Amino acid sequence: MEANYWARVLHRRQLGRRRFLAGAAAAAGAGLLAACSKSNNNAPGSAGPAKRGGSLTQASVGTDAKSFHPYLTTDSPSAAYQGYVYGVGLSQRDPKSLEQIPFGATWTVSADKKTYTFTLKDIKWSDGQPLTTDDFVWTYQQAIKPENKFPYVDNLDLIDSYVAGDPRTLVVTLKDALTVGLEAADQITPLPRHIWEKYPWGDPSKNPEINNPSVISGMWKLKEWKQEDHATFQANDAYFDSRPNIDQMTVQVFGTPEVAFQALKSGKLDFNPSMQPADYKNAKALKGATVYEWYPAVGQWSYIGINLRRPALQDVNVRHALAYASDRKGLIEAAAFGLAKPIYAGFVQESPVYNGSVEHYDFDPNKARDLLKQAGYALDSNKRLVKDGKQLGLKLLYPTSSKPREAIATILKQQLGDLGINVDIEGQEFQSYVSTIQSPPFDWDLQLGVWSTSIDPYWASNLWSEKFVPDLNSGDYINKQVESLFAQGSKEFDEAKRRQIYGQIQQILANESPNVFLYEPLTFVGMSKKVQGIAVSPLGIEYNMNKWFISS
Amino acid sequence: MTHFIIRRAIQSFLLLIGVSLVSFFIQRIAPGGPSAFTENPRLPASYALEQRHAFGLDQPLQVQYAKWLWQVGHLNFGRSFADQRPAMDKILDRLPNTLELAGTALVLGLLGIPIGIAAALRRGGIFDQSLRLVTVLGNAIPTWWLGLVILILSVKTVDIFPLAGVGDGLFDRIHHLILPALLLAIGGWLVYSRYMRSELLEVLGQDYVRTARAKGLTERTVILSHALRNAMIVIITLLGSELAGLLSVGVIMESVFSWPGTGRLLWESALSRDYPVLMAEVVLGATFVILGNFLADIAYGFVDPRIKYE
Repeated sequence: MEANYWARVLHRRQLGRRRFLAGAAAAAGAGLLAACSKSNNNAPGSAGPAKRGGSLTQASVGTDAKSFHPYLTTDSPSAAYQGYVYGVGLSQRDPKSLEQIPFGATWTVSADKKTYTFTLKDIKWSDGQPLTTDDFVWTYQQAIKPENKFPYVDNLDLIDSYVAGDPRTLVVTLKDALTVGLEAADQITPLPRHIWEKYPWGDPSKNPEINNPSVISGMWKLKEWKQEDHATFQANDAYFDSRPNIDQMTVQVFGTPEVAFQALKSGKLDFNPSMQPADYKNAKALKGATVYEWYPAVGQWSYIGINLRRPALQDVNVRHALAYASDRKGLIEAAAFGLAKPIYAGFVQESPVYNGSVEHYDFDPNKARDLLKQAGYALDSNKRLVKDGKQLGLKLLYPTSSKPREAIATILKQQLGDLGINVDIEGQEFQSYVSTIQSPPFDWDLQLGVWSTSIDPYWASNLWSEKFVPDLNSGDYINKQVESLFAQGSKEFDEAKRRQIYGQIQQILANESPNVFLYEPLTFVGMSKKVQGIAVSPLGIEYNMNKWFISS
Repeated sequence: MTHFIIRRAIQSFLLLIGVSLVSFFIQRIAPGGPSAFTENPRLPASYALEQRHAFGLDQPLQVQYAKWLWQVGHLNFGRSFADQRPAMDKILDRLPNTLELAGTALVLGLLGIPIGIAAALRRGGIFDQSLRLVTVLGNAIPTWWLGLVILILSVKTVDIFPLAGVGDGLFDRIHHLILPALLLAIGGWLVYSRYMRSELLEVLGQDYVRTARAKGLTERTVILSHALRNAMIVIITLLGSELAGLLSVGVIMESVFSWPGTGRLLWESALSRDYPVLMAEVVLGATFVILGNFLADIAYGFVDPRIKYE
């Protein structure tokens, strides 16, 4: 399967629901702008004036969407489809500053920063009915019902009340004043109450709107969907922002990335959002296509997870030794084809609160040896690293669905083996891998994982919280100071203090090394040269899809 | 014959229950579960637990199996975890695509029979020898690899074939069907030609063939009505399991050709532990195997006068 599958899934999911992106309400730092500096190298020179008409075919590689129901799925192709047809949020991100700016509404915030009062723009459903706050409130009420099983319902817990003042005024009150407040208040994708009310909420066999939405608000209207084959969308003339220049868009499902790449190459495909790192060089050489690339504001990062239940790994010297012994640059070359940047403390460089001054643990086997010596290990005559007569042996687990992680596992076995550590690598099918790292008897020492990121670090706190042992926090890392700093940071509206708080978190994480932090991969897509009007941002390229056009 | 059919039906039914029991437990014993985890810090950990509870996955396995069996008895295969659609609906949506591909491949594959006959009649000749070379080579090459190579070559050379999907309308569908069906048919050619050749050679050495020749029948009659009919038995046996075989080969070929069939659905449901869909697929697959063998048994009666069902 596609490399790093889940990471991509998450990434696309978050692009698809861009209004739901985590992030600071305040201005983003300079690091964000640096994020897209590399991306304009190969942007087309003269785009010419935008023209209306034409069609675009894009690929969905590996699998198709499951459902158009925005409150039923967690997979990324579904999120993309839902974004196309129901993509009306209250706010959106500015593609340059990443600040949250008005989209479907303007707003004011109360002095206690708990109450957001939104004023809706003049928006219409595709059947001509006005889209009102009633649609928002009705949808919210359905989403919070436990029996409706909205996967992200926990995130709606941040909301205290969600009411309509009048058809254009929506008042959302949060339980706490949070820096992530606007995002928390803007979680609802409205559905057309006058249509949906007639049907059961979540039953696709009785609610035809779930798989064939007839009344929509987004930029694309579904024309036809043959699941796992293709979906055809037409420009929505009634779209409130501005109608897409392109008349028709088809999403074609490809079973394998190899064939999707051939399709792009031969011109049968215009847009391939799921390229393999191995195809990067070939794609760059294509005459008919452009490669757009960026480090995403909402990306992912790879790490070596450490099982802190194991006595040997509770010694911080051993963890530091592992960090020094992991050659990030080499791993990036071998596993990500050089298309990644190192990270050092669980925060990507694009994060507005990134702290670059933590210990980097650059590759240094000698330091690693010293640290292991301090931890009481010594090399025996067979060059095995032993303590109390026993060799240090580590079981390294990775999911076989990910080619990069397979490569990393192989390299680590050798690099740690050079120090005298016996690394036993074991690949497991993804769901089995998850089950092994998260459930007793926790039979693993190291594991190769990937996390998705958000613009606001609020959501990252789960990874380091005791509450999420053994699920998200499968390595059992417990540090009360980190938890209280995350809580402070989520309520600190002063930008400088916020940076300081999150900077301190990164300092602690780097010092304690509950993971060995590896890298964040570059995102890149292949696009036919006939498609113009694309502007790369840390948000990606799809945020302004309605501005794309087909040049002759 | 009626007796035979009734007996076989009862046997098949019991066999189906057995197959479902074994695969049910194998699926559940495999580690991991549906929606166990996504690498997304925002999806609460409780989600997986709630899901498990909602679908009754926290009950003892034997209870779950009994419930499943009871539901299936009422023709309800449950709902997919992925999108809440009835599992059987999802499969029936895809089944026509798979049958279209597998059926075409099966029919095209039958061309292997005349090839095998021709080789047997020219035993040791150039045709026979080159056929042997081709079949050995063909068997050594994995079909999915050949599929990818052919797709890539077709893009680089003629570039007239579509790369993905089933197409719309009769001609478009045929256009999409050509490459994958031919590729799957190659498997049939390799197998049928080999079996047909060796079987026919064996039959041609039998006493009754010599007798037929001795009584002055034309070579054509000897081969067509005496030798061939007897040699067909093994082909019928093969055909019986071929349908199910094509359905399983489809798992890989459907991915290579982005064919929206039941094979890809099976693969996806296995990866995501979508148990209801997985079980429905297993039951359907087992039914195909049993049905294929059943039809083969009946067909024996027609081609071989020695076989009678009392």
